[in-house]
Amino acid sequence: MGETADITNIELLLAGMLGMFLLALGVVFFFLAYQRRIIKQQKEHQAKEAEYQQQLMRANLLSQEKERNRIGKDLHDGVGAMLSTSKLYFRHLEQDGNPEKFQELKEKAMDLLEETMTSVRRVSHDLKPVVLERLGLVEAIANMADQLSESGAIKVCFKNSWRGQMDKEYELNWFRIVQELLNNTIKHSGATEVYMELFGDQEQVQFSYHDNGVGLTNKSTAKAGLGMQNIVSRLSLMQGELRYGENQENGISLTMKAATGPTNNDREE
Amino acid sequence: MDGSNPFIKLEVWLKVSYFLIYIPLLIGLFRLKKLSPLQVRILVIVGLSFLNDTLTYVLRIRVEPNLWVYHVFVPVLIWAMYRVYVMSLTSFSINLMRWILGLVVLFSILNTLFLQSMDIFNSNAIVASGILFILLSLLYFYELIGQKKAQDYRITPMMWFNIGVLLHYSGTMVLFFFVNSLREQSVDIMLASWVLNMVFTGVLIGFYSTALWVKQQT
Repeated sequence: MGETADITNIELLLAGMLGMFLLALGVVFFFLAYQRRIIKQQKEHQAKEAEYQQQLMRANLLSQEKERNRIGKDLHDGVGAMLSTSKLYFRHLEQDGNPEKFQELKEKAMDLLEETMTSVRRVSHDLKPVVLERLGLVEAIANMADQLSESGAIKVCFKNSWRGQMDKEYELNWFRIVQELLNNTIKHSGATEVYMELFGDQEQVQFSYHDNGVGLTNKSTAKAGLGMQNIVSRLSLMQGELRYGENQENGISLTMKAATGPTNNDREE
Repeated sequence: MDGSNPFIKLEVWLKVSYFLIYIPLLIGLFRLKKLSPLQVRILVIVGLSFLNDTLTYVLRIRVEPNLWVYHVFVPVLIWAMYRVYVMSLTSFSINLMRWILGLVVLFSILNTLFLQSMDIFNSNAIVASGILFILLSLLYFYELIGQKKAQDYRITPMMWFNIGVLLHYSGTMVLFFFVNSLREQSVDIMLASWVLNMVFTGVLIGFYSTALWVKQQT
């Protein structure tokens, strides 16, 4: 009887210890499985983020290349051609002795040089907008809006309630974003009216953009476009983001927000 | 010197279990300069266990009472465990943790004074501290689940330490609960209980060693 009781006690003890141990082991396995799943999700998220960053970088590089090509073309076809013609006129000036002809060629050469200077100014203005440099972002956007409205093809309304200081590089980014949006509207939307608003505070600036054109039929196609990718890329550089409005059928509707200048972390990087 | 004598077997198991603690102790001392602050605190626990095991072993060889060592060891171990968990349980109230730990320490002292005197194995205090350590261990898992960013547990010393604590104290809980009544049972049960204790101590020592071995994730 004594031995049977011992065996039962040992069994009870073993069962109790094993039960508790298995319970604890179950908790550990559950936790490790959960943790593994979270790590897998994190890795997937990081991979997507990296892919997205690469896409933005590619768009940025493509945009730079496109801009360089455009400047090269402007210089070659415009300024280069006009300088070549001017050179020809000057060569004739040396050989011809007729004063009337001399005067005529001189005037033509001067006109060409004037045109060349205008072209150089335009290229230079495209590279670094003078109005932005001199008067700041708000005036530069207002200037763009006025120029387009004066053309009669489209009515652009710009409202500003933002008062603050912005980093020069950030100002240029915003200027290019607005340029890109207006170009898209003119080229693709068929809109007759554009409404833009700039608002925010010292730390953050927001910009809303609406037109009454065809709108975005497919957001993913719009996102994939080089122009839009450039906008997102520029916003990303300014720790900003782009949000599409709910109703895109009656024209494009976007809201963007970004910091007004680099943070300390950005400067360290 | 009959090898089949259960007392000799028990003696062998005891010797093995006493010397197991040397493994994490040597790892910790070997890597002392490279240890993170948390690992140093884990090493303190290993050091305390070493002192406890050595002292009880020496007293046992000299046939002197050694159970009083456990009465001293339990409150000190609770304090050392608190120092490890307070570094990791950041989202829990430190004051609440101190109160709970204080209550368990108080219980272990009252247990020594009124329930299990110095010449009796303080199983009540060990079970109470075991419950506390299991609770801390589960709280650590709970805190990690709440974090948005998962850590790579293979290189997180606290994770190894915590798993070891949970498995050891869960496994030995029932044993320590009945340990004093087991003394009155047959030698076979005593032997079985010591073997089981050694197995779970081995598990704990293995996890302690890994916690001291891995490079702290920064």
